[in-house]
Amino acid sequence: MNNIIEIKDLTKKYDNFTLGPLNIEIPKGMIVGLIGENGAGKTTLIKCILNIIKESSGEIKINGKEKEKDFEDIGVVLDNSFFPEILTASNINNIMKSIYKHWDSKLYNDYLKKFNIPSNKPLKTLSCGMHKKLEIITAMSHHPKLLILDEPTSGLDPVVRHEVLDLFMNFIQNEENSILLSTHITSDLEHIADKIIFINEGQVIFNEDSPTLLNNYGILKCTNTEFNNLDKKDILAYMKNKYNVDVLIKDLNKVKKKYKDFVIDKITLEDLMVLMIKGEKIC
Amino acid sequence: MLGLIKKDLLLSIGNAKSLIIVFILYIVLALYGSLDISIIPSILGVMLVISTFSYDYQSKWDSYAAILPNGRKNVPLAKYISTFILMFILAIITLMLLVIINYLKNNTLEVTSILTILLTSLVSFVFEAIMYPIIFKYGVEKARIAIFIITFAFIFGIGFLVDSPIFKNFDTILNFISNYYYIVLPLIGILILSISYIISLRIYKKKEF
Amino acid sequence: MKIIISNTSFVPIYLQIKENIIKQILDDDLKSDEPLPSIRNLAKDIGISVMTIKKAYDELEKEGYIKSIQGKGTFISPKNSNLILENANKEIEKNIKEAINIASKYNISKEDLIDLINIFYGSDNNE
Repeated sequence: MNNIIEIKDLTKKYDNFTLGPLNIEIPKGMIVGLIGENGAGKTTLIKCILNIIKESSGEIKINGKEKEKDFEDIGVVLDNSFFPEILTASNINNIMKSIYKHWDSKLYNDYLKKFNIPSNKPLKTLSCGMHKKLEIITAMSHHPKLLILDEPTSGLDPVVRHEVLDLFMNFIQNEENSILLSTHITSDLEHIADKIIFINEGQVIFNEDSPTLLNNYGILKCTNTEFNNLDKKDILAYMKNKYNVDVLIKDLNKVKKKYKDFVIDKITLEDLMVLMIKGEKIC
Repeated sequence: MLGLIKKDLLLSIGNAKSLIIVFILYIVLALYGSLDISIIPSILGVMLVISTFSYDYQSKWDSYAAILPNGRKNVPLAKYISTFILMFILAIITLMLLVIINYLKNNTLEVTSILTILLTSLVSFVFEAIMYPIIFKYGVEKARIAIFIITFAFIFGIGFLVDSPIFKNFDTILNFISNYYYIVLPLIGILILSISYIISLRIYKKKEF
Repeated sequence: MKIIISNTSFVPIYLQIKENIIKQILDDDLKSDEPLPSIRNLAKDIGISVMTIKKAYDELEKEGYIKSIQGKGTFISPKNSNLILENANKEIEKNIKEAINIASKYNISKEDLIDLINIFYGSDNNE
């Protein structure tokens, strides 16, 4: 069993939004990034996986078993959902040690110290960054094998984000551990994610290894007239700006040889997202 | 389960700290005035447990609870058990306060006071038994109107009960439920809460957050 | 071991890592049988995805620069292994072909080209 999560033909229907049908596999030992606009379906997907909402159809397996009723080995950070705000970090320790079999109070307290989180102050008095860090370490203190994190880095300043990403890299030092995280801050994922799943309007736009993705795509920049002379089959999507045209291309090296005189940039996930969502396509 | 109960009790304790002035005021009034503090546990208890729902709502606790081992299954039961424990603790504290106050005032503790504690506790159990399934179904925000209406109904109900001849002749009640009222009343409370729990669990299991 | 990665470079990160390591092997900064950090360890230390490091290591192993021993880790291969020489030859071959192409473009004779090589070889050795 090499996949930690397997999703088959998953759909979730709402009145004005439908997620899927999705088929996604998340391999063990990897950091998988889920990207997409707000409202693209990232949170809905995560909530389906976690049984917070019920899928309309399809199948989700976690570690080979039917979607587990028991989440002993999973650590979770949800967007905007945590312990009531008048509780303290030490209250959380007290509660969690009666909830998880493998809750590690020592580890939790070490984390608190490491991140300078006060243990006796109500959560509502913590800064946004502190709060998020507390959510993350709470998710990690029962030695989970899988972390499912919805927007774990939103609201964090760059220094703290760096600390948190480091924590994630530490977590996957164990080859059995895996992380699925959603974010709209795509720069976080560019280096650390092994795989990127891009969701838009409830559909998977692509699902690829991140080194392949980042080395294979590029942006060609040209003028309007130059654009008309481009070979149409090289154009994945394009966006006409006032003074130039941004063209999303695949097979970076091949295209670079073909159009030697053009400016061609390496792609960032952000560009890729914007061009795929907002850009026009030639069909 | 234990963890979830702890969480609700910790919430109540945290919240009770802000109510401590109210509590002290009551005691002072009881000491120097003629106020009967035996109805405090039920009023305070209901306030505390309903506010745990509000705190849960504010931080979307239900979603988070659903990802804890057995969270979805245990949240309702934990709520009921912690309510019961809280009411019990409050009743005991009030009883001790009554003993102290009566000692200071050189009165003897009247059996009426104990009966009042038990009766009002029962009333608040019934109140909670009605409220919880509504809150679990519609959330505390939407259930607020229901809380309002039911609270008024109860205040008038209690007022009516206190004024009624049944309550005045508490000897008859004592005879009616014999000398075991201190067991019978809590038992009725538990029974009502149990039925309410079964309804809540069915609602909660299917719920999406 | 040192690894320097440019985020703006067009060279894919896995290739940069690979080239970093090859250079250190050829410069003798990394000696044969010296252990390399595990894939996951290196990933953490330089903040690059496991996949990327794995790709670099896989290619290094395929080309004979390193070898991984099950359960023990990854090590630098003994130098002068045929594979490395072969790779070096390929690299030289490619560049000489390129040089010949340029030479013929500008009508530079074979002898002149060889002279050039001799001059540069000599000057490099004298440095």
